[in-house]
Amino acid sequence: MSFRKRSLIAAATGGALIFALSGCAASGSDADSATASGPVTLTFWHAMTGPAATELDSLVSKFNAQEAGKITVDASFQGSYADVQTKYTAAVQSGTTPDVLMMNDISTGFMVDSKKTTPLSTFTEKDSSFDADSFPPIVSSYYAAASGGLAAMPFSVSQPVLYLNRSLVTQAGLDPDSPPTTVAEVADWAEKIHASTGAYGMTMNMSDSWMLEEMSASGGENFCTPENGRGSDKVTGLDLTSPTQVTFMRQLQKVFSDGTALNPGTDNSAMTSAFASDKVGMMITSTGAYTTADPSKTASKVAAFPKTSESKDAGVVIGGNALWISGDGHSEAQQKAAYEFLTYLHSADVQAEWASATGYLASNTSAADTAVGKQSLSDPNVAAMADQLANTPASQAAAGCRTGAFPTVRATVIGAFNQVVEGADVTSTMKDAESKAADQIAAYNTAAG
Amino acid sequence: MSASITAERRVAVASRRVSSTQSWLRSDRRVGVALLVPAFAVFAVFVFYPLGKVIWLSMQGTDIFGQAAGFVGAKNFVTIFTDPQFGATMLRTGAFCLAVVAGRIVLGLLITIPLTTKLRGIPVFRALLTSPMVVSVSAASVAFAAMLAPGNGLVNSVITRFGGSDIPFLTSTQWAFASVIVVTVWGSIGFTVLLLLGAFGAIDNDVIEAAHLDGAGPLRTLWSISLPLVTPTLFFVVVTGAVEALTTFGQIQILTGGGPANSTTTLVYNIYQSAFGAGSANFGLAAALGVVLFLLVLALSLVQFGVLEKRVNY
Repeated sequence: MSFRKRSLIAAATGGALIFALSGCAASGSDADSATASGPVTLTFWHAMTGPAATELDSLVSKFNAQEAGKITVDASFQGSYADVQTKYTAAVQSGTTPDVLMMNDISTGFMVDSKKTTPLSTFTEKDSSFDADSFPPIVSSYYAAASGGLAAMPFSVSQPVLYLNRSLVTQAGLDPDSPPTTVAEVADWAEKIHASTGAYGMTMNMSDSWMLEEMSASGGENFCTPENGRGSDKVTGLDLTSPTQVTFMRQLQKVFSDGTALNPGTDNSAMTSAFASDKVGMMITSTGAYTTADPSKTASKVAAFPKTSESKDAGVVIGGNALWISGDGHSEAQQKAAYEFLTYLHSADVQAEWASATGYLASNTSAADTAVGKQSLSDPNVAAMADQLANTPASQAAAGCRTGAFPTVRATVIGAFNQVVEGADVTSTMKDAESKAADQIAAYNTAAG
Repeated sequence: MSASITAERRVAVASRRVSSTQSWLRSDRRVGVALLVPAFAVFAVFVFYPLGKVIWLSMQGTDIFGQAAGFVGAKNFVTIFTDPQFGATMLRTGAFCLAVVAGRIVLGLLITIPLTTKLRGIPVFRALLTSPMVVSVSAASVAFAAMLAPGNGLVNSVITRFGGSDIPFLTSTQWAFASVIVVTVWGSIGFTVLLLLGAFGAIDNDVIEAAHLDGAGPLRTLWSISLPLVTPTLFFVVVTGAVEALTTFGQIQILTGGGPANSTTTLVYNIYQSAFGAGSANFGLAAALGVVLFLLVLALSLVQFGVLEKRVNY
């Protein structure tokens, strides 16, 4: 073999290698290939796993069959919500955003700031069959667009509730059917359960500041200033040190630091499994945890989320996710098809089915009148969850905070609260968190321009 | 006359040598360059370009999508060095690095030395004790997270069975850091033992016998003969172990997410949080932290080669 030949082979090998490697990055969306006349293919990114993913796939197939020849939805799982947001930012950079994006509650501010989506209200204004009152009031106010109407289509709705382990509560001489209604009472019950059964009295999510946000709202307090970001001005800071907040944090501090409460850290599944196996008397967490926390549906009692004050603004902020329609770089035909898909997912039958399969609460109030809906609501625990959602006032406090910096500041707040549950002074620790969060929000607001 | 002939001949020989060298060089250089192309291309794409980009990005602001949004000079570095948490993060990173490397060396030696004895069944133990090597970091971390969980975790179930109370291994600032260190050492101990077994096995038996003849006991032999002879391997473990510990990510992400209250946030985890932490996308700041990490690893390696290597017996 001549040198020339050898060098050629070597160079070719090198070239092939580079080609192969660069090929890894060259995967994109084929959504743009859809023409105005032919059938429309929609890319749909979601973050559902387990039974929810199976159910979502089946809903998508039903839609595709129903719209055969006109619209095909290509659903793909993209990881956790944080992963979806990371991938979405990468897709914005490369101009390959999906036609429909599922994004979680607290990234709503980011999605609005991104200005890459078409507000849902743009479509609903032209749609006479759209019923703005089909949503529970707190759901419409959570996803409200600044220009009026909705920014995105609410899809999965959840709220935190109080779960009581019937057997542990009864063992402690308490009646699960007249459950505690305030955080102070929950702490008191927790001490009693712990003292008489040896099990943990209570537990709650500690992986981020979600519970602190909810307890602020259930005292009628705004979590963010000004006006939870629901007024005309952007959020510039957090409010973590109002008397109501300091009081409930002290109550929680006591039960965590004396070993009454179980701190699950970042591991939410450890929390639910501890509750399901009678290691914890009471648990405050999402309605979505119901099926894993109590597979028999009779071992627990679901009660309303505890209040922290008697304020008339007190309520419970919703969680879950909404569906966004991409604007930039997506044809009108694609956007219209995306809207069709979203209205299908919002229909009463689909919402009833979705709620019954996943543990989310129906975001369409008519879902309760469907056969599936009636069947689900015959469980008093599910009925208690639905009641709480329906009765949440559409106050500013219960609408919850909206800022694109929310995911970032959550880590700051829970970091501070972790120090609190180990005995740090509530007021000064949370003041520090307020000032750090204000810096983070300022940095975000600068970046958002 | 004879002198000029020799001179002529010398020139002729020399010129022949030059031309042959040149042709040799010419053809071989081509092959050489061609052979280098693949490696260089890979390095260029995956090392040089990202390195250059990181340095460039470290002086850029970023928009909410993480796209560079204009030159900001040293602003990102100012943000880093004025952050009151940064000093604590650096100290923690250093402590983590020291603890993991020390753990690997001490435990590695304690496990390896008995394994070098020639007893029946020793190969079985060798295989068992090097086996953590084949478990991936994420799998090991998930398993440890389940074992160390409060309430239902295996370890706490055993503790409470014997009348103790739950230890918050991953959820208290007192325990979480130590827990992550233990899991990291566990994960890397298999490879350390494998390396040390090789090093101890390579010691010439004559040297050990000579020491015995000179009246050295087993401890004396170990301290004065065996250990000095495995120092090159120990040095290798220290250098690679330190860099590995500095860049630890998986265990922290899975076990604690950097918490509680930042008590397990190291420099690398900080970089991840800045770039990919929920909703952050601050790639400028993350790149600046990356430059800090790069300089740190570089300095550490230089120190190790300058100071430690002098004590290594090759």
